[in-house]
Amino acid sequence: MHELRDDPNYEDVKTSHLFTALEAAVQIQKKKVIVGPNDSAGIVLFNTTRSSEAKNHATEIKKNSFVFQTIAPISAPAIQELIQLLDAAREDPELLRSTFPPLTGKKMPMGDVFTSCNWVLRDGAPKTASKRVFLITDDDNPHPASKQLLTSARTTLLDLTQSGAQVEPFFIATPEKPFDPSKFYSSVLLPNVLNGNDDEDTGVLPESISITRIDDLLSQMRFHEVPKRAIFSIPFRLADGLVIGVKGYGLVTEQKKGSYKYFVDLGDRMEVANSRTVYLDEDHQAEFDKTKIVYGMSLGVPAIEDGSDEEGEGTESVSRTVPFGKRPFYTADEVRSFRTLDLEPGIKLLGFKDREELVFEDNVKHSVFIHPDELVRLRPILGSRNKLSMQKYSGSKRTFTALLKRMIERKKLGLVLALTRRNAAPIFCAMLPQAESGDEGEWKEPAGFHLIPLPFADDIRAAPLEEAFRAPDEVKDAARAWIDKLCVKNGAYPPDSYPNPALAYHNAQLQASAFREEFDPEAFEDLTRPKYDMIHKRAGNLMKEWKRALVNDESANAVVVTTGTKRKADVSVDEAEIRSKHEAGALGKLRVDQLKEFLKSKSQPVSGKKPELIERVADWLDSH
Amino acid sequence: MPAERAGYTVTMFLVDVSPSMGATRSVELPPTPSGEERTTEMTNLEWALQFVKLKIQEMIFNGRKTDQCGVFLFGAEGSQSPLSFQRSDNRRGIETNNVVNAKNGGYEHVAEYIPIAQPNATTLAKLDATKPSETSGDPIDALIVGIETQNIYLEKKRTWTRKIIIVTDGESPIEIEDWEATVKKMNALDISLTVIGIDFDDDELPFHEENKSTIKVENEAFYHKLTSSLNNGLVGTCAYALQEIARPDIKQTKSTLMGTVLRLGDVDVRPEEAIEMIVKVSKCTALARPKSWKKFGRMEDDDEMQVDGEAEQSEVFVQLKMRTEYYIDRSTQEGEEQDKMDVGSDDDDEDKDKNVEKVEKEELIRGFKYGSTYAPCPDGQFPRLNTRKGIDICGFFHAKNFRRDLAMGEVQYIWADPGSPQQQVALSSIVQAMFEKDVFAIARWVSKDGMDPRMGVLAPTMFEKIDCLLWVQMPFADDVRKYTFASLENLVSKSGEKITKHPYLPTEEQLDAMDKFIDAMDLMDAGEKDDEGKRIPWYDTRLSYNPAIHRTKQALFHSAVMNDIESNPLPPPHPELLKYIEPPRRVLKHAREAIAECKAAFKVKEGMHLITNHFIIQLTLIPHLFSAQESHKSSQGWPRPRKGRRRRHAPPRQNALRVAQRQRTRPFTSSLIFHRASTYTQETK
Repeated sequence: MHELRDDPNYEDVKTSHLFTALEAAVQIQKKKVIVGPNDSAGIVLFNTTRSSEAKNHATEIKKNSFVFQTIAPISAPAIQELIQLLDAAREDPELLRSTFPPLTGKKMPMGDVFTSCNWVLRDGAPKTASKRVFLITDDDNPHPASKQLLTSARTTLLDLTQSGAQVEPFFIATPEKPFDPSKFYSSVLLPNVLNGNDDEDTGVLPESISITRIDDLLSQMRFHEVPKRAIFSIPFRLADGLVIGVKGYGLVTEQKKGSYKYFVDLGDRMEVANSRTVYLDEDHQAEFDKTKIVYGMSLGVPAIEDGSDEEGEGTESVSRTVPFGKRPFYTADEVRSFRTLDLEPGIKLLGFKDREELVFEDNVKHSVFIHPDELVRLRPILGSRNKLSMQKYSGSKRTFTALLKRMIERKKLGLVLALTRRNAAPIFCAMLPQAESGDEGEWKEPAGFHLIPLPFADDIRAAPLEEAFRAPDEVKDAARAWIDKLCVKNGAYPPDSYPNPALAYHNAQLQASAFREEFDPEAFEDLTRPKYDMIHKRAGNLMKEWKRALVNDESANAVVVTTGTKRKADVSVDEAEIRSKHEAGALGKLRVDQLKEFLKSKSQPVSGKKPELIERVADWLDSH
Repeated sequence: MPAERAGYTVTMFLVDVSPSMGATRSVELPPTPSGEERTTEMTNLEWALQFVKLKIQEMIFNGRKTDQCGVFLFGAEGSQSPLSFQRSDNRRGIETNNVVNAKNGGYEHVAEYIPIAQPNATTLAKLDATKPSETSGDPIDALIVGIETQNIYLEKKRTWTRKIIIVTDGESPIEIEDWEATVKKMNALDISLTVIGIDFDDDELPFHEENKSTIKVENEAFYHKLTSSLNNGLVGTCAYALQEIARPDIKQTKSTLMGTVLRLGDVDVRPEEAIEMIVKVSKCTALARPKSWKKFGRMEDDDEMQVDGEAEQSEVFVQLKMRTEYYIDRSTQEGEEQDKMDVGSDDDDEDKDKNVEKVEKEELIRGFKYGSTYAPCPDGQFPRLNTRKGIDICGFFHAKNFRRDLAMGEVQYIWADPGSPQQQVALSSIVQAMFEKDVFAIARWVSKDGMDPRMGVLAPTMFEKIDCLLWVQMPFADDVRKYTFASLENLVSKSGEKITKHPYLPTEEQLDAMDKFIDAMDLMDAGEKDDEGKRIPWYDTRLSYNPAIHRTKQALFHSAVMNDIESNPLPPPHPELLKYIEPPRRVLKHAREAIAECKAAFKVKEGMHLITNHFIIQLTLIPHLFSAQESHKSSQGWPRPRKGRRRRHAPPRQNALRVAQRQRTRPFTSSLIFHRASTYTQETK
C-alpha cells in the first residue's frame, strides 16, 4: 500500500511531491512484479475530496480518503494506467490537482487514515500474506494541539499493526520545511514496529523511521521495499554457559532471472500449471509413500556382462534382496544425522585469529550477516509444524556489541562452527566484524559480523602449473606505469555502479512482452562494459610502451622445450610461419593437428572439419 | 615422478579361502544408544572381506570405467557353490580355474572368481557368497596366476597401474622356492603388492597375537621378506587396514585449464594500444558436496512378481524413479490467491485431490509471470545479451579497500598460456606490478560468447616459480540487499537525545571482560609445534575435512557392505573429522577464568525454555586409532595420509612479514604428517 498526501503548495515546479510519490509507486511495482510476481499492491490517497466511487462497493472507507488502486495482484494494465496518468501530469502540472482535489481548510484525522488502511487491507489482502503500509507524508504535525486525535491515531495504528500490517513511514523533509518526528509521529508510531511480540517499551526511537528529501524518496523506498527477512534465528554460543541470540541475513545473494513456468491455455486465460514430484517404483508404476522411502547407495551400473542375467530377475529396475526382517538402508532421519553430525542449529565460537589469517583464496560462497537478537525462534524437533517456540536471551545485544567493538579494535576475526538450519551441514566460517559507517540520512553499513564460509580440504584444488617465465623489472615497471594511471584513488569495488546487465536485459524484454510493446535491443545500455575511452585516454600510450618493452625482452622470445613422455608428431608451428602461409593462401598445406594446436593456443574452438579449421585460423589471423 | 593419475588401474584381490579362514572371531560394534558394548561373531573370511568390499565399494563410488578389479580365491576346491549366483554354465562351483593351470598345470586350488571388470553391486554380492573351503591353497601360486592374468588383460594397456592385494591369515603352507623370480617379475611390471594379514603382528598398532602357530610365524616373516624386496610392497594387519580405510580421503580432482582472453582497452577500435592476452583459467576452490542418496522402497509382501519360486522369505528393495507431474486447479477462479498458497506449501496432500486436474507436459506453454499478467516465452528464455568471451579489466583499486565479505563464490586461477613465454612474461609483469603497488583489478568475465557477464576482482598472486591472478566474483547492484538495521551503539531516546546508558549498551566493565575473553581464546599459537618448536595457529583449511561429505560416504559404504544396519550399526566418525569441532582443550583450560568473568559480567539470561547441550556429539574413541607412528606406513594399496594437499608455495618476492605470515598459515608439508598424527593424541587425552 502506498499512502499519499497531496500537497498543492509545491506544485509550481511542474512536479509535485505527489507526482514523485506516485512515480516511486510505479517503480516499486515494476520491481516488485519481477521479484515477487504473486504479490499484490494498491494505492490509497488521503486528504482529498475525491470520494471513492461506487465500484469499490466492498470497501467503505472513511471520508476524504480515496482508493486509487485497489489491492490486487500487480498487473501490466494497472501499471500502464498509472504511467499514462503520470505522463499526462507531466504535460499538465495541474492535472493531479484536478484529479485528486485536495482537502482544504481542515485535515483528515490520522486515525481515520489508519482505519481506512485497515479496512482496505482487510478486504483486499489474503489473511496469510504479510502486509505492509508505506506511509508517505511531509506534514510533521497534522493535528496541533489535539490530544484526542493523537490518541485515536495511536489506537487505530495499534489495530492496524495487530491485524498483521506493518507500517513503514517515509517522511519528506525540505530545507524550508524540516520534518520533526517528535512533534507528532514519535508518540504515535509504536516502538519496534517490526517485532510485534516485543511489546516492552525500550524507550528508544523506532528504527523504521526514515526522513528523506524528496529526491531520495525512490531510493529510500527501494531499501525498505525489500522486506527484511532473516534467514535464520539461532543461538550463538561464545562459551559453555554464555549463549546469545542472533539473526542471520543474506546481504549478498545472487539475484537470478527466475525460471520460466508452465502455463495451460484455458481458452479465456492462461493458468500456471503447478508441478509435483512423485516417486515411483518402476515395476508397479505406482506412487510410493514418501514417508516410507529409505536411502542407500546407488547399486552401480547394472552389470552388462554375464553377472546379472540370472533367471528370475527379468525386470529392468535395480533391486537389492536381503533376508526377511533385515534393513540395508537408512531412514530419512538417519541420513540427516550423517550430514549434521547430530548437531543442533547454532553458531559456536572456536576462538580468535588475526585479521590477516583470512586470505583471498579461501572463499567458496557468499557471506551471511549476523545481528544480535534478544529473541530466538526455535522450531521444535517434533510436533506441530506451525508452532514456533521462542527462546529469549536477554543481554544478547550488549554482549554482541562488546564482542564486536573489541574485535574491531584488536583487528581480530573469529573462527566459528555454524549449522544454520536443521537440514544444513555444519561449516566453518570466519567471523569478520564490521563497524557501523555511513552518513546521517543515508543508508548505513550496519554493525555486525559477516560469516564467511571457509573451504574444506575437499573444496581446495591444487595449482595445475608450477613454473613459468617471469618478467624482468623493466617490463614490470612498464606495466606499473599504466596501472598507476588506471588506479582509482581511494576506490573500491563499487557494486552499486554495476547493475546486472543480463538480468536487466531479461527484465526489459519481459516487461515489453507484458506491456505488448516492441523491445528495442539497441536502446539497452550495458553499464558493466569497461570505459574504453577513459582507459585509452589515460593510459593508451603507456600500454603501447609496455607492449614494446615486452617484445624487446629476451626471455619473452625463448622457446619452450616441451616435455612429454609420449612420442607425438611435431605440431608446434610458428605463428609467423602460419601467417606467411596464410598470406600465401597456403593454409591448406598444414595438417589438421597443426591447425588445431594453433587454434588451441589462441583459445579458439578446435571442433569441425579441416575446411572449418582453416577458415577459423584465417579469421583469427585477419583480425589480429 | 608424474602424479599418480586417478583410475587406469587394475587391482587383483587374492583372497585366502583355506579352512582356517572359517575360524570365528568376535568383532566390536559401536555401543548401543544406552551405552552398552556390543560384539558380533563373524568368520575371519567375512571380517577380511570387509576390507576387499570397502575397496571395491570405493571404486563403485568413484564410478570410473578405468578403475577395474578382479578377484581370485586360493584354497578353492569343488565343494563351494555360491547360492545366489548359480549359473547355467559349467561353473557351478568354485574349482581350480585359471589360465596358468590350464596352460602349464601345477597351479591348483586357485580360482578366478570374478574376472577383471569395472565392479558393481553384483561384484559385492558375489563376494558375500564366498565361504571357507576344505582345501588350503598356496598364496604364491595365486600371486603368479594373478600377475599373469593381470598381464594378459593389460597387454595393450601398458600405462595402467597394477596393484595386487593378498588377503590371508597366513596359516597355510607356502612353497617358497623361486620367490625371487616372482619378485623380479613384479618389479619389472611395476606391480605394487599389499598383504593384508589377519592377526599379523604389528608393533605400531600395537598388536601381538598370543599362541601364534609356528607356520604363521614363518609365513609372516616370509611376507615381510617378500614385500621388502619389492619396489612397492607392504604387509599390514587387517585391523589396521580396516581402520585406515575409514580415514577421510579426498577425491583429487584435477582442474582442467580452460582457455580465454584477458583484455584491457578496446581491441577492435584501437588495437595498437589495447592489450589482449591468451590466458588459461582453472578452479582454485570448488564446493564439494556430499554424494547423493538414492531412494529405495521396500516391495510389499503380497507381491505378485515374486515368482522366483523361492520359498524362503526375503525383503526386496527397489530403487525408486522420480517423475514430475503437472496439474492445474480449475475450480477456484475467484479465491485464486488463497488457493495458490495452500498448494505452494507442499505440506499436506489432503485437499489437493479435490479440484486438481492433471495435465500432460506436452500441452504446456513456457512463459513468465509478470504480476498477474502472462508473458509467453516459448524458448524458456528471452534472447541473451550479446557478449564476447573474455576477461575485461575495467580498472584498479587498492587492495586494502577490498571488502572481503562481498566475495561471492568460488575462486579461479588465471594463468598465462603455458605454451608461450611471451605471454608468461606479459602476465607476470602485470602481476608483479599489481603486487608492488598492492592493487586489485576490477574485471568483467564472460565465460563463452553470449553468456551472461559477471563482475569480479582479480588479485595478484606470486608462487615460488610462477605468477598468476586469482579471480573471485563480486556482487552486482542487484545482488546486494541494503537492509536497515537498528544501530547497536547510537541509541536515541524519544526526546531525540543520545542514550549512553541502556541494557543494550555494554559497560566499561563488560568491555574489559570481553577483552580478556578474546585474549584467552586466541588461536594464533594454539596449534601444533612447527619444525622450530614454535606453535602454529590452530585450524588449517587444508586439513579440515567436510564432515558431511565423509560421514555420508562412510554411511553409504557401510550400507552397501552390510546387509542389516540394525544389527551392524555405523561405526563412529573418524576422529579426523571431529578435530576442529570443539575449541582446543588447551585454550579452553586457559580461558576458564575469562569465561567465568564474562558470564558474570554480561548476565545473559535465558528465557523459559532452557536450552543446554548444543553441539554434543557422541564420540566413541577406539584407542588404537591414535598411533603416533602411523605415518611410517605407506604403500600404494594402502590408504594413508596424503602429503601435499595443495601446492601453494611461499612467494619469494613478498616482503618478509607477508612471507612469515603465509608460512604460518600454510605449514609446509614436511611437518604435516607429524601434525596430524599428534592431533589424535591430543584429542584422546
